[in-house]
Amino acid sequence: MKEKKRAFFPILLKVILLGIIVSFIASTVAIVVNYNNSIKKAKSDLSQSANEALEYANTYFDGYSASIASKLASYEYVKNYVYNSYKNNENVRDAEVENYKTFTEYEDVFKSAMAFFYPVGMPGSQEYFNFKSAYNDINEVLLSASFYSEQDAFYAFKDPDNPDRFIFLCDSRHNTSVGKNVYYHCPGSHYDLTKSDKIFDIGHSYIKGYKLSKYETRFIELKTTDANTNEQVVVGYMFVAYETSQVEASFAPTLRNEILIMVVSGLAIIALYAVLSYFMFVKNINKLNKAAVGISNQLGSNQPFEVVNPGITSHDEMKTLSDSFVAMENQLSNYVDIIKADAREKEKINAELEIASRIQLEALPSRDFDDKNASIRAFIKPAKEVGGDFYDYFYISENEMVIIISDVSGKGVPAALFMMKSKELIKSMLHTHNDLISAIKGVNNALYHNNKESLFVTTFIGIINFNKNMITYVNAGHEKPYIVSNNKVVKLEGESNFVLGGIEDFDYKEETHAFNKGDFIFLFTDGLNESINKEKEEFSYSRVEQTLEDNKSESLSNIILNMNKNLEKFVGKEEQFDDVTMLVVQNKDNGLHLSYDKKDYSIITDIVNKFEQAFSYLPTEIKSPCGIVIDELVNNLISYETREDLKIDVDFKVVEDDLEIKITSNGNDYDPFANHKEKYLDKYHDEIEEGGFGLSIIKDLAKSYKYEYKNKHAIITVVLGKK
Amino acid sequence: MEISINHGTELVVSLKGRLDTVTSVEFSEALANESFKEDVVIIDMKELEYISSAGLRALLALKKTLAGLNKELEIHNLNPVCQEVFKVTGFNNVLTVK
Repeated sequence: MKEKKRAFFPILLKVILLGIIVSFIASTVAIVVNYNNSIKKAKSDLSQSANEALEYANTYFDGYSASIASKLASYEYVKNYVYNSYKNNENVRDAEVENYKTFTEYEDVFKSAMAFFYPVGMPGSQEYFNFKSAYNDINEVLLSASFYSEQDAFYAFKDPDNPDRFIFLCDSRHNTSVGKNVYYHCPGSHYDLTKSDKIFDIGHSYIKGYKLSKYETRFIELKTTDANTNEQVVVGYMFVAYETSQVEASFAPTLRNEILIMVVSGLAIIALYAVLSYFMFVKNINKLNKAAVGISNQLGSNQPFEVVNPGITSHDEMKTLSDSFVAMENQLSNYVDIIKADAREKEKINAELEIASRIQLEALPSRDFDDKNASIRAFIKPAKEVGGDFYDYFYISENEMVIIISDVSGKGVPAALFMMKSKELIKSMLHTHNDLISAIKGVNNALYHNNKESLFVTTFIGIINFNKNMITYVNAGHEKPYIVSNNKVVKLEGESNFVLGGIEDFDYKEETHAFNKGDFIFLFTDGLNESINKEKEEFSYSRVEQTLEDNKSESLSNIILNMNKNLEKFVGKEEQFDDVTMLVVQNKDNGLHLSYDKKDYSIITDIVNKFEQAFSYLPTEIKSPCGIVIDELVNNLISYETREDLKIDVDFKVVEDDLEIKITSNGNDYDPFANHKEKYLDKYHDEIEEGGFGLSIIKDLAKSYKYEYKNKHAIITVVLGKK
Repeated sequence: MEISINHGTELVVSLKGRLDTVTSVEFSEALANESFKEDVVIIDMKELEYISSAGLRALLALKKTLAGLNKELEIHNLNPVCQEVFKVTGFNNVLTVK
């Protein structure tokens, strides 16, 4: 559990991401709502200012409650007239005179309309001129600062409370330039001259500016500098149109600041959110994770299981989860104890089974056996710890050997117990009965009784008579063995009797088959021929037969080795489900024939090696002298024989307890024994002379020796054995 | 045949296997370059299966070499077959057998 794979999106990251999304949505909504509110407020402030201005005007205009705007509407005609007069007269003065006339003409109308004001005077009137001259200095400053021309300050009213102040009214229906190229008012339309946009035809002229689309009216203060105090003083008020869209524009910097504040505070909130999330959730999750890794590590070790508390102190779902976790650990701890106890128990059982398996295998005779009559090689591979297969071999007389191969039904311990019983039963029955059939019938009935589990055993029992070179056998439901005789592989067909322990008093039939010197019999259990590969195909008799065919000249050990190799290759990685047992028994041809046609001392080593291999069962008292005899005689032949195409044949043969060595060569007719002078060393004769010692030794060691010359071959025969 | 040579207060040559026509050559070759610093050379035949006349000749040759150097040769641990061979050839008379 050392390796920790990091989550691509840890919870903390997800929490932060969610925080960002939520706070941005909230910010956006807040900004939009706030913005609209701000606009609304600004607009209401504006209209309030306008109302205040009107109120101001009304207050100062001495309690007349009617609105200035509505009153102004009634001067429509007059204003048009004045406008026209200016338009039609090149001379301003003439226009004013004409106006005055018109005023006189319409004086009643004017006066009634203007009754609530304290007009300084109509343009052109005497009062107006008087006013103008009285306040000439002020007017100059004021008008030049605020109006394009004097005429634009259409009506000038004196502030009733403060004679230094004036109210200039410029209605929206007359072309008026305000604030020196700042605003220009025309009837029905208003322009901002600071924003150069388009050229508009305003009837008598053209102006370049920006047409105000939305506007409200308000009073603006007209200021001038007091010459004495050098301070800005309000000298009048002016009624002007004011574009509301400028209000919105004026809010743009505010909006930027709000967004900035919102983003900064949002980030701060997210950071706080993340830190809090870590301490409230993620830290606890990490604790749980640490505890879980601890458990995982514990499960991998042999130490007793310790319950680990993640140590979560919060009172929330994490605590609940932690409590469940600890509860789960407690359960786990119990299970671990149970499992460990089970494992110990199982280990004990396995150890016992292993011992049982060893006992069982030890009950079988050696897997390699050689004596003067027979060579035996056995192979057993149990599928489970203890198996149901067995083989056996033993002498029942000097020249008769019993060979057995068996397979008990079932597997595991029951099969193993039944196998032990069968094995001992067969052996004792064969020792106590005179013939094979009565022994087998005895075994069958004994196994049949007291067999509630209905186990049975298939078996092949053969008795080899080494004198008669015959095998007498009973096949009780077992795999048919092969006999290899004269390089021919023959399947031992014949009566397939019923299994042992199956039916009481079964009438078993025995058969006989020639089993000559050199022949061998190959016995096996169904674990061999019925083993299957992954295609569910059986190894089958045909593969057994083919392997025997391919290996019939090999040694017995190699036959078994190659059979097993082929089986393993065939089965591949499939599980072995049945015991595999093989037994190969050879009726030993006690002779060994070797033939050489090269004149080389190395053949001595070859002869001795092959002899020892073939006659390993012979006692050292025969094997060692034999090595000396071979060395001396073959050495002599190679050393003294003159012909280059020397052929040497060596034959070994066991006769009773003696070993007969016969060396035949195509060499000269020379009897070494006849021509030999005894050679003996003493302190007076310690010279090394060629030859001599070897023959002395042979004569001493041999039971008998002779030389003969037959069919142009020199033959030396030496017999070794007890003298 | 296995030949192992151990130097010490005595030179011990242990033989294992057979000392015959083929292996006596190996035996002589193994000792050919020996400088025989020790006064006594012991041939340990505890694990020797048998010795043939070729082996006897090799031993006798060794004895002569050692005699020239004024050194002793001893044969140790003969098995019954080797004893018989020594006895029948008289080698037990000319070699020190222990």
